[in-house]
Amino acid sequence: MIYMRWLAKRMASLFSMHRVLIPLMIVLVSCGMSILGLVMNQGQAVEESIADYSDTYGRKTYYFTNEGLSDMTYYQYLEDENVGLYHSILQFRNALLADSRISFFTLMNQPVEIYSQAVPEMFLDGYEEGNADSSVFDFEGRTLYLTKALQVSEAFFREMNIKAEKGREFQEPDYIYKQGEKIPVIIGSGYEDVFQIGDVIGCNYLFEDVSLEVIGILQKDAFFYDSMNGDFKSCERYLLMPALQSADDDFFGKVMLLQQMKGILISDLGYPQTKELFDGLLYEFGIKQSGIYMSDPAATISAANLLNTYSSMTQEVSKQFQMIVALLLLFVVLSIASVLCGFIRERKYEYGIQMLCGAKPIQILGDMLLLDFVILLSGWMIAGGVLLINFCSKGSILATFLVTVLLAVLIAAVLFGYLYRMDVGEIIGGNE
Amino acid sequence: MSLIRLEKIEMVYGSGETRVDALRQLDLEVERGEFIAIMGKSGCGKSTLLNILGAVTKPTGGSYLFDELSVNQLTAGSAAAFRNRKIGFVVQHFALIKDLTVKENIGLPLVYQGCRKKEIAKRVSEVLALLELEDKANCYPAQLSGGQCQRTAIARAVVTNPEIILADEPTGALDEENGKNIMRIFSELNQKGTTILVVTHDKEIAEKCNRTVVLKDGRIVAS
Repeated sequence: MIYMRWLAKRMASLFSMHRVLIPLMIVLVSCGMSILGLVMNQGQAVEESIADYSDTYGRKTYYFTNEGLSDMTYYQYLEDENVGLYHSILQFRNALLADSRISFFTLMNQPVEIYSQAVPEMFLDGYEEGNADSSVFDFEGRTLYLTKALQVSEAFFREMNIKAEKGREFQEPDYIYKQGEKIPVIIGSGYEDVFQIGDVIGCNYLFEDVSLEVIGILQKDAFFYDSMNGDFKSCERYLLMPALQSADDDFFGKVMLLQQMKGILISDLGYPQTKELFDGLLYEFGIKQSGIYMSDPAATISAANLLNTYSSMTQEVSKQFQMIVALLLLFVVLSIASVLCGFIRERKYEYGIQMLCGAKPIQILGDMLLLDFVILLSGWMIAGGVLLINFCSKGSILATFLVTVLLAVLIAAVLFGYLYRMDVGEIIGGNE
Repeated sequence: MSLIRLEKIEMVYGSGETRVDALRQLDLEVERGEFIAIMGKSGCGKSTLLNILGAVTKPTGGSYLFDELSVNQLTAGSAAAFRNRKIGFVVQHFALIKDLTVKENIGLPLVYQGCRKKEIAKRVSEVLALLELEDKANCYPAQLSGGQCQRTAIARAVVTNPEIILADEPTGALDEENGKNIMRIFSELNQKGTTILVVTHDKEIAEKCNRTVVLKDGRIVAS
């Protein structure tokens, strides 16, 4: 007890001698720990996201599907009197959707030509490639804006984990095309200042003038897999339209049905079995030679690499941050250890006196060790406040605490090493 | 049985061209209750010998037994406990901690022993009386004269009832009168049974001791 009082007195003396340096060290620790906590929190979020994804999707594999009808077959398919192929493809699609062993959704990247108003160029087709100019053109007295749009079916939202943040998502009747009626559309978050829910947009879609009605706005972090570029893309600059079905086997209905074949088939059966299932359905409905196909394994993406692609940038940034934080913590340790070693040097004579009085090394360094822990823990407490304000997890805060204690122990080890190397015995005469 | 037995003690600093043999094959025995003066020119190894006797430095060779305890084998912690309980140090420039009062300076070895507050207060007041420092108990070193500082240092050295007091030029920073006074205190302590070993250049001081050991070039040349 009396030793603790003595230590407290020594601490007070240190604080009064170094009124600037000690608070500066506390600030340094709090900065280091705050950054560490924030980076850890970010890393934890990525890990949780990976775990969630893995839990949700397990070992599923994503296979791309498409139609590759030859020109001759395509024009035959569109002929008015030729409806057999249309009905076979329709039956095939319905069977694909109904099969419980797999999940299938349409994901078609088909721009629409908006004429009712000017569209900012960032939403135009080819903007990212620098070709937005060619997406604005005049046709039959109207200026058309070729605007990026995706046509998706119901399972797209579930499988890609995409939700409308405002308004509503598509409902079953929205997928049925009724001539003359407005087609519902959900806009990407980037459109928030351009269109509002309830706005009606005039456009040309698949050779017909249609009206789109905005029914919802997507969440900000909504991404879809662009099979053309083999990468994730944000939905924020896209219009999302339902992959429409027509009750009629007319031209429009036929084109829309063919479009619905472009999508993603999700299966955990493995490629041979999934391929057998897909081809079996094609065979069953007599369209084995139609040109509708499922991609081979080389062109598929697994759940794991889908996630990797999604999070690779985040992970890379996270790694870079971790490196910076590691360097920062090294700087914190070295700077605090060197300042405290300076304090020891300053008190060498006193330490010599204490040694002669029979103080053990830990007793001699008691004030410095206490100061070390006071600095580190004060810094951590400030950092803890910062992390709480930033809604960081308890795990991150606890981890920063453990790192703080570890750093304090590391610094203490440096101080002991320094004390042992320092000849405090010089107080008696000197080396001969 | 000797209190201290040094056999073939060697102390070498540096190596090669910078090698210094501070002590060479030094043998020394100190009996309980002796009052010994260690003399010699500067650089003859007096302070090194004191450092070794006080377990502050380990010799590079030889054996050091203190009451049959092999001091060379002690760890840093055990050496500290050994210093705390067996040895009292008095040095030329007093070695007082400037921001502690006289009584706090004196009680320091007892703090490291883990004594209770009451026990420390009792022991400190005893030695304050012994050294006639009662009225200076709450003063800081800066408020004391040289003689008072050295008496405080002696009080701190004896507060744990050590078996031996090692004094390095204890009167070196004092005037003649204070020097004599300090030597009188040492004599009184010695008469009460404390072994005292004083390093000094002063022949008058050495004459007050029972035995004089003369060092030259790291060896004892007269004892």
